[in-house]
Amino acid sequence: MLRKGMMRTLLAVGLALVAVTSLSEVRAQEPPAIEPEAARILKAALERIGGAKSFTFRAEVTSDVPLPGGQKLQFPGVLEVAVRRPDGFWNMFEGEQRTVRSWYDGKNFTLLNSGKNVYACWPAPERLDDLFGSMRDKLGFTPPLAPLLRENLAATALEKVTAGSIVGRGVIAGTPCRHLAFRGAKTDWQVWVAEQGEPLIKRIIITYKLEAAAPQYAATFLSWDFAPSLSDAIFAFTPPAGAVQCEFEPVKR
Amino acid sequence: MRASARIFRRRLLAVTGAGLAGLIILFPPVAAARDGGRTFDQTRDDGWDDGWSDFNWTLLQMQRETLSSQEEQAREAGRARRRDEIEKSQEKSSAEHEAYFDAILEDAQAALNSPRGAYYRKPGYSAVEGPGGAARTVEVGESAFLYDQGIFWLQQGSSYTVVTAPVGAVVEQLPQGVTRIQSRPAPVWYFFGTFFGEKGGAYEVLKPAAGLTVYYLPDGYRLENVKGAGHYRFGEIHFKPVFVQGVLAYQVVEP
Repeated sequence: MLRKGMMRTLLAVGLALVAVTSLSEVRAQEPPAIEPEAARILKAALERIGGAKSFTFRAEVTSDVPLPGGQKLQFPGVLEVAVRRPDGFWNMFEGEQRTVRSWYDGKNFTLLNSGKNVYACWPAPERLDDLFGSMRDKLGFTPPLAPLLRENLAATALEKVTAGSIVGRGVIAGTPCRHLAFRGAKTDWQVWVAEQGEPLIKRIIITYKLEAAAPQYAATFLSWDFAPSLSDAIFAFTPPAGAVQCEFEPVKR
Repeated sequence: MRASARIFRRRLLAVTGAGLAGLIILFPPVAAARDGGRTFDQTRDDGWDDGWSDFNWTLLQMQRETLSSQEEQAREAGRARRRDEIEKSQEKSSAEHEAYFDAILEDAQAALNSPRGAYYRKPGYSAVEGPGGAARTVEVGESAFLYDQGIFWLQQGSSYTVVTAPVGAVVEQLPQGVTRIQSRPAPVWYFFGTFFGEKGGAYEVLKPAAGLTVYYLPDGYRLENVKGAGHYRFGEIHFKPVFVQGVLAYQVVEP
């Protein structure tokens, strides 16, 4: 009788374990807590960029630089970008510490440090969407705001987001915007998307939360043009007079 | 008795089950987070989180460039004094004025990346006053140099002239604004074209090994064409430009 009772007890405990384990698995498989409306607004903004055959934008950017001792500096700059899919990219960054330009024509990627008049060329993939991953793997860097330049960004942007929400409404450069906030494993980011007319991204802030002092990179978009006139010459590099050619140091693994 | 034992077992079962359920319900967030973390770390794709992380290079490089730039005001004051010195000595000659402006432009270019606030005089600079009172005499071979804050001077008659750092000179202190370079077998310190290595608690001026990379060149470098490639020469040291993670740097090369 006692043995029968023990069997019942063990059976009951086993069933309880199975039940709560199943419950925990269900909880672990729950989708990330992204507000559907936040995802919809972001997706619309990214589809506008990703779906464009060509576009240009101009943005004011700032980069935080934490120093030992706790001081944090911020360096401003202006970024101009031109994209013509599938194989054209040009950008210019004029900052406090450097002025650089880069060209990509489906064959070569060229980086020019205008202040020092030094440049390097690198045989690049044929498609813009393959360029940035290849640059990251082989050269160890990508152009600023590269994630925004991918064709499939709307499909991939939320893949690693763990949370997303609408913070509220804000006005960026006179444009009423929805303020969205997203969290990832390595970065948190905020986006302001124009409420009226085209769903244009007006501002983006990336917080590198794993870095000391959590530095931020911010870009305020001054203008977007989705019907620019971009000739081949824009994406073709011609060395300036007296420019010194050098190489990219490959990533060491 | 049996009934009470049965009731006790039931209660024990209920309590045990509830406790286990509570524990497992409490811990799933940890387990889920761990699973999520594993996915984030191991999945390699082009998601935004990775994409934004790529741009860390800029922050890190800017930090690297800025680490040795913490005394802007002192640097500016020093530069202002230098301008005054140059201006006073050259104000009567328009040709010399051109040289002055060239020097200012050259300084401005080099100063973009060099340590701000660091005391510096480029080789060839000559003055009656010479280095400050804290200067120490350093002998290398048969020459006696005066060393002050990373700068080596030679007395020539009644004046003092800045020279490139003599290899083999041993100094007690590194100058302010020096940059530490990870190197094997031992770290190296860089200051305006001079490389130091540790030697018995002091620091010795080194002939730098090929491959050492720095992020600024000192005032006074020259651009030379070596076998069709642009090299920067400072004293006996040759540098080639190279983009390291998109940032312009200078790598020591054999001439």
